[in-house]
This record gives sequence, structure tokens and C-alpha cells, in this order.
Amino acid sequence: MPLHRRDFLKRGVGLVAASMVVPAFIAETARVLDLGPAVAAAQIGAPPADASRRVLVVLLLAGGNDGINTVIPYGDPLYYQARPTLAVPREQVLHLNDMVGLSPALPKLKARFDAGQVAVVQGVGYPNPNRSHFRAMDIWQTAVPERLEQTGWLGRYLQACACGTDKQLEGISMGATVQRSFWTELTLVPAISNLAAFRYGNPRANPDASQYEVEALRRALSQARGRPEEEFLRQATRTALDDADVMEQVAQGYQTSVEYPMSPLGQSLKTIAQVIAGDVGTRVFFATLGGFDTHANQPFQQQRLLTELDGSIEAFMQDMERLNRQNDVMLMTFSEFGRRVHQNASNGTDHGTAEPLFMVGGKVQGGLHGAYPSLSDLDRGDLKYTTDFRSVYSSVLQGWMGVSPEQILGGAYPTLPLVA
Amino acid sequence: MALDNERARVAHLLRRAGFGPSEQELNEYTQLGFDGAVSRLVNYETQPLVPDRVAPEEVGLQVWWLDKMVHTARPLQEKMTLFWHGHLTSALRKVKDPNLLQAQNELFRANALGNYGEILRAISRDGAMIRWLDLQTNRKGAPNENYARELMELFTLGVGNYTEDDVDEVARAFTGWSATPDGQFVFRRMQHDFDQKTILGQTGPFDGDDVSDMLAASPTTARYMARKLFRYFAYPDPEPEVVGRLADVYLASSGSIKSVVEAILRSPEFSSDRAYRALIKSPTELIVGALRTLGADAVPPQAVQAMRLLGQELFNPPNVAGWFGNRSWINAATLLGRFNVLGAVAQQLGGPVMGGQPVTALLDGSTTSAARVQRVLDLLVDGEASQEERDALVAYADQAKGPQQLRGLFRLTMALPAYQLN
Repeated sequence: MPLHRRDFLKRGVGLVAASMVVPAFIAETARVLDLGPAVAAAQIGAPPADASRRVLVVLLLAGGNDGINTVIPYGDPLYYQARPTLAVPREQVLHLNDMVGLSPALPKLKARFDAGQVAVVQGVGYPNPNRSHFRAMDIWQTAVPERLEQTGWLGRYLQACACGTDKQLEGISMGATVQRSFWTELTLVPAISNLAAFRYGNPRANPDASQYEVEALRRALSQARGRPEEEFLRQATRTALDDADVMEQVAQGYQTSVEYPMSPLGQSLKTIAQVIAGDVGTRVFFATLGGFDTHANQPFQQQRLLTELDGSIEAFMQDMERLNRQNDVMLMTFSEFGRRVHQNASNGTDHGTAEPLFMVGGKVQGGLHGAYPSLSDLDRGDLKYTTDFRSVYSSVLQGWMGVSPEQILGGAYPTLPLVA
Repeated sequence: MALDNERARVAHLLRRAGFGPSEQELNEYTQLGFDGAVSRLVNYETQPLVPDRVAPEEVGLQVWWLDKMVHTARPLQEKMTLFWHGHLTSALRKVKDPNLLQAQNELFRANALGNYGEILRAISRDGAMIRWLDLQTNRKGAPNENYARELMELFTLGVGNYTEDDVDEVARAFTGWSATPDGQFVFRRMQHDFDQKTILGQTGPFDGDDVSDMLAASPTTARYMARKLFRYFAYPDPEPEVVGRLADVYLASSGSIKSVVEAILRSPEFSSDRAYRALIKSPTELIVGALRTLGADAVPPQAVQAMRLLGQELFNPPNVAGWFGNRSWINAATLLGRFNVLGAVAQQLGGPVMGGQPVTALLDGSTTSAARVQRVLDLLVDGEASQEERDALVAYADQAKGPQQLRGLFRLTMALPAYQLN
């Protein structure tokens, strides 16, 4: 039985009055916006009826994935001219139509594409592309190319939607540090590496002592404080202890017959599946697969990574089907940039620009979206983007998450029909 | 009110202008009085320079620096070194060479309370900075504006106080600022643009040093730095008149950081109720502070992993803007991580890492639960706790036994909001 976070709190931590678990930043948000949460939610539009169970999984391919050898323009002779040793032979490409096809390392994704569950958005980028990993990563995660912005687009989404009171777990960043996409002054998205470490104390070393201490800590933090930062920390600590309890239940309540790859990405997606199965109200997850900076000896490295991607996504989707949640999840990939059209002298590719994005899920409008960038009309050797990445974000925010994207992205961008 | 006695004021000072004191340090500084304590902190060259106890090539840069912070007799010098690292950032993941980051760290330490114009001149010649912001690719006819933009946006004026044309022109002034492969500054004359530039309304054949001087002397920079330093030491949202007052100190002293910092520490705002417990400890402040207060002999190697989990990898700031600070340190995972890291430190009490002194030595003779709780509160949070905090700690102490009692009291007290705050 799926465990609902609010029910759990009422049941398991019954002594906590509902008002106690409302994190400070909800009130903060309302104060800053000078609106009640309800008003803020109304302003950005009512979400679709089933939107409350919808989940977005953002998957970063870190290092700059070579999109041209991922979604391969095998129908264009220029591709084979530009990449004498890197090009994938046409008979090995997994054809999507008579111009483009997927890397042979992505057979499972190809099968899902054929089943209409994969959208491929081609040529995604932005004006004046930046080829520095660091700056480009900031741009994709903040969705602000023009200037240095601190807050991330997913953080701004969580802040604006004020979806409920369990805000802290509404986003989870897999890994050691919280991804920039989630950054705001007010959201408290945690970074989780594995659920076993997400708790107070060391239960293996000393379970009783930890439990006594948690009880003492809860008791010590029962009353509100006058100093704002003390009160902020008091509430954040109580929420953290509650969240740790919830996550412990989530971990105990999950068993799967699906075999995930033992790779870090496979295990990240398995943890995400656990949390989704626990139904604690998390709206957005962020996971990372690194190693795509293939300046040298690209074929082996990229094939290994794409194989990991293929197997991990497939396991995750199978697990979602097992849980009958396949229509509630949308998984979206991105990379900080694509790579150059022409291969370099080290059998690799250098930093480039536009790239293809994958969207996977039971309610994704499958097929090819946007136009594949020309291989002849280049900007300093790089692809010219055909779809602005903020159009993709807008489409996801509006079509999938059911909110108006303008305020989150600071402007209106044409949307794509990515949701069936 | 919490800062109503000298000892509490001095403890507040040592947390902000340092990393929190040991009991002995607090005793010594309290004897000087608050004003005397400020004088000793800002005139740190009167205190001995503690020689390195560990080698960076053996323990890594992070532990090397953390160890300095734990053992320094010049806390403000290290605190300002940390400020500069978060302000004039560079990160190992792009710079690659740890020697360059170490040299940059020494540059910050040597100029911790130096003149800002001189600091800007020096950082534009720093091997790590040259790589971090791509100065070595900034050539006449093919400028790279990365350094020029961040110099104005983040290091001096702040966004909105310069134009895109200024960025182009400042980039031209810094053409030829380059480095050898091992990071030594070289001025490449052939790559420098000797022509006229117009920057912030002034025209001349400016080079990088001219720009550093011009920006350091700007009243806009004065306000920007006054505000940033005040936020670092006192509280996040300074009143405009406070910023104006400190900017005047900056301008009157031709950019003396020492003058500004001393003015902040001696200001009534610094010792006000608004400043007390108003800043959230950074992971560095949290870990170094705990090790100092508990009398640790060495920085445990696990500190590296801990810093990463808590969101502050030294020598690897997240981006050019440094760390967000304050509430951004806090989420469920980092909070639990903070408690567990501090818990692991407390678990070492009585062990060799903590100098081997028995746990009971920290108790100072207290025997009852209430007295022991008060003793731990005195050591960690100025003796200030709410009634339910006290009650919860006493109840815990009543049912816990042996050395675990005291370790548990330390763990719990360090998990309280008061201890997470500076």
C-alpha cells in the first residue's frame, strides 16, 4: 500500500500538530510575494486534475553529450564526411525515419520510441551558446543565459507552485550536492545519495542511543522561537527528522522484481522509484550520469555511457509499469551542450552547441519534435539551434506540471506538444 | 538580551571574526575586554604564525587549510582568507593544478586585511585566477571577456553598474595578461592592446593595473565591498546608512580592508541584538568551530567527505559567485549530515583525536544532570537555551550513562539551532 506522507505524519508522528510541520518558507514565500499560498497557486493557473501525482525526473548527462552520435543524422552524407572514423555506419543506426536514428547503444529506448513513449526534441539550444562546462551548466540549470542568475528553474517552479505543505520533499536532488536547478533562497530540496544515510545517527552502531537522542531533540524543539534564524532552523530540523522517518518507511516498504543496473545511475533511479512508490508527494527528481566529455577516444566511452543510460531508463520504466505509475512520470534528459560537428584529431569531439533531448513516459507525445539542425549551415563549426531550451522547459511546466511558465522562466516561449 | 555581558560579546566576536574559541581562548580574549579583543584580532601580526602541521601534498589542500583554521593564533586572518576565497573565487576542477590554488590561498592570507586595489592587482596576476577566468586566452583582436565581466559584476561594482561596452573595454585593457604553463604571470606585449579605451566614462590607454586601481577607487565598489563584508561578519541585510558609513571608511582609507573590517567589528550594529545568532554557520565554520571548541588535535580525514556532503568543498566553490551562504546551507539532508558529522566528532571525545583528555575533564567537576547540561551549554552556546531545550537535555542526561552521557549531550546541543548559528 502506498504510504502517503501526510497520513504517515498523522499516524506515525501523531504528536506533531499539523501547523508545526508547515515549513517556515511557506509563510516566507507568501510574505515575499505578499500573497497567500492559495492566491499564488491561483495566479499561475490551476493544475490539471491528475497533475498532483505527476512526477518529473530530470536526468543530466554531464560533460556535454555528443548529440550527433546519439540522435544520428545518418541520411545526410555530410555526417559521414565530418566524422570519418566516428560516424556510426548507417546499417548499425536504429532508424527513427529515413534521415535520423538512434545510437546502437540505445535499443531499449528505440523500442519505447516505437511504442510511442519517447519524444526526441532535436536541435535544442539558445542564442550565443557558451562552450564552457561551468557557464553552460549554469545556463541550463538557471534557464537564464543572459546574466549570472543564482536561482534554478526547478527551484523557482517549486517556490511558485507552493503545491502543499510538504515542500521539503517536493524536490529531491540525487547525489552529494543539491543541483543548481533547485536553488532558491526559500526551497529546501535535499540532496540524497542513498536512503540509508538519510537519517539521524548511526543505527547500526547504536540504535537505542540514536532513538533517545531523536526523542530528546524533538522535545527540545517543541516551542517556537523569536529569533528568525533560530525559528527557521527549528522548523527545518523538525522537518528533517520527519522526513528521515518517512524515508525509512519508504525504504522498508519497497521491494521490486525489476533488476536495475548496478551503476550509479541505475541505483539513483532505483532510489527515485522507491520514493515514487512511497507516494510521499515528491514532484521533481534530479539525477546525473557523468563522463560525456569525450575529447578523445569517444566511441568506447560514449557507447558505455549510453548503454548505461538505456538500461537504467528501461529498468526505471519497467518499475513504473509494475507500480502502475508509468503515466505519472516524465523523464527528461539534457546535457550542458552538444559537441562539434567535425571530429577532432584524437578520435573525439570538442565542446559544441545544440543537442537532442529525450522525454520518456507513458503520456509523452512520442516521436520527433523540432527540426534537426543543418550540418552545412554552421556557426563557427557548430550546429545552430532550432528549439530554444526554454521552450522545452515551458512545455514541461505547462503541459506536464500544469503551471504557467512565464513567471518561472521570465518570459513566454512557444511550447511543443510533448504531452499526449 | 544575549550580548549583555562582556564574555558573551567576546564569544560572539570570536565566532564571527574567527571560527569559535576554545574555552581557554575565550578566557584570554575576555580578559582583554571587547575592544582589546578586536585590537588583537585585527592586528594579528602581533600573534605568532603557527607553522604548518600537515603537508598539503600528503593530506590534500582541504585538510591542510582546515588544520590551519583549527590551530591558528590569528583567527581573523584565516576568516578573511575564507572570505577572499568565496569572493575572488577559483576552483580546482577547472584550474586543475593544486599548487596554483595553494599559491592563491597564500596570496589571500598575506593580504587578508590588505588594500583592495593591491589585492585586485595581485589577483589579476594570479595563476589560478588567470586559468579560472580564461585571462590567458584574452588577446588583442580576440578578447575573452570572462575576467572583465566578473571583475565588475562580482568583484567590484555589482550588476547594473557598468555597461556591455565597459566589459569590452576592460577586456581590452587586460589583453596580454597571461601565465606560463606552471602559472607564473607574464605580460605578453605582442598580445596587449595599447590603444585608447573608454571605461566608466574615462578615456586613456589603460592597462589591467589602471583598471584595478580605477575600480578599487570607485564609490560603487566601496558600497559593494562594505555591504558584502558587513553581511559576512554581522547580518544579512544592512541598513543603507550602515553601508554608507562603512563605504566612507573604505574611501577615506583608500580601500583599506582592515579599516572597514575593524569599523564593522566595533560598530554598535555588530554587537546588537539583531546580529546575535543571525548567521547560519557555513560547513567550514561548523566543523572547524567544533574541533576548536572541543580541543581537537588533528582534522580527521573524514572531514573531506563531510565538507562535500554539507555543501562546501573548499577550493571548489560551485561557481564564480562563490557560496550562496546562510539559509542555502540548510535542507533535510545537510541538516542530518551536520548532526551526524558533529556526532562523529563528539564520539571522539576522550579519544586520541581530541588530545586524549578524558571526557570528564570537560565537565569541570559538575555531577548533577542540570549542572552538566549547564556546563555543555556554557561551552557551546553561551549558556543560552530555552526552557524546553534545557528540560529535554536534563531528561536525556538523567537516563544516559557513562561517557555516552556527555557525548550525547554534546551531540544534542550541537544539533540545536543555537549551535548551528553564528
